[in-house]
Amino acid sequence: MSFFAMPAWQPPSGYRIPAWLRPPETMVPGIVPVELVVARTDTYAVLVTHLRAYPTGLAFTLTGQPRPDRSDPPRHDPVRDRRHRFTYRNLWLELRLADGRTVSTDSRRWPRTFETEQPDPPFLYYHGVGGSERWQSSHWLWGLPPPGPLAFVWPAGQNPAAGAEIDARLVLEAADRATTVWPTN
Amino acid sequence: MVPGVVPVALLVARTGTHAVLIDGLLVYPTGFDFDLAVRRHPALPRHQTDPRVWHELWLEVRFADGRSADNGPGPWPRPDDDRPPDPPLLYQSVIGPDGGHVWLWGLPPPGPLTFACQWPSEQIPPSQAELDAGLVLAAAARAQTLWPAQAVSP
Repeated sequence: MSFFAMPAWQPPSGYRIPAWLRPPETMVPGIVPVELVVARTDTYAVLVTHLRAYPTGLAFTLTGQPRPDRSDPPRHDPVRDRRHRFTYRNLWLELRLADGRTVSTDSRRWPRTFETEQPDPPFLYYHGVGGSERWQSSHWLWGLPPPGPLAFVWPAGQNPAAGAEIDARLVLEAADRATTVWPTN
Repeated sequence: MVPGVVPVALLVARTGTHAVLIDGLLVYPTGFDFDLAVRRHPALPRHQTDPRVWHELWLEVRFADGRSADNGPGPWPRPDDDRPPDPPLLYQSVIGPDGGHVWLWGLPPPGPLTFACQWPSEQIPPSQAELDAGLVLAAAARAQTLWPAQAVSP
């Protein structure tokens, strides 16, 4: 085979991400009609956007974005960088439910078997797309919140401690609007 | 800016094996972005598709006044031209097996806003779905500036 020949096609692995780690693949979500500013400083902001509800949970995107009309901090000054930026690696998001339960992206609080065994809801999973300044992470809350306030917070002790709150009714109503792409009948 | 959200997702095409959704419509005063989301029937065997196939999912957005934009190969504005292009202009920034991400430069006039697609290599025929452009315009009006002194380019 030539050095430049394409590699042989690989057979399918058959792996599917477990249902508790992703939104349903065969549903049109109900859109939650809110956008949240979770934190904002003079130079940086973090938003919660793309809230999509399903019968099994809530998907949303956390976005960190720098203020576009400010000059960038020096790229070779990590101390100054830390003061001016929020990085998703250094922060964990916590969701506080109306019944007192909390879930967090702090993986130290996740069950060890979350990839192979279905955890009890609520469970908050995420994966991020990094960048030097702007970043995004996709989140999936396995399990719907109970009625009442639903808070997106960075717990005290983080810099900054900040958050935003919505009425979980918006999520529950959106979940009711989700529809199946391929009805079983 | 904090965008305004359009509170609907659209099912644009559906066959026995595939569906195409318009999802995550976020609106700014200068235009809107959304996910062009591909769904595969769970009974469909999983295999890696040729990336060339991903690029064959054709999308067109049509305004009520007859203007339209699509994710075809161009023509594109010259990179050395500082003037903003005439709207609408559709830019698909992500192309993959699960669809892509799209920015549409320019807001639609009132009336029906049509999303049309076809994907011959996946046997999706010409299909379309409509949205009331009023939902997009109302969302644009709800968009907020994060830093009030920040200048917004039209």
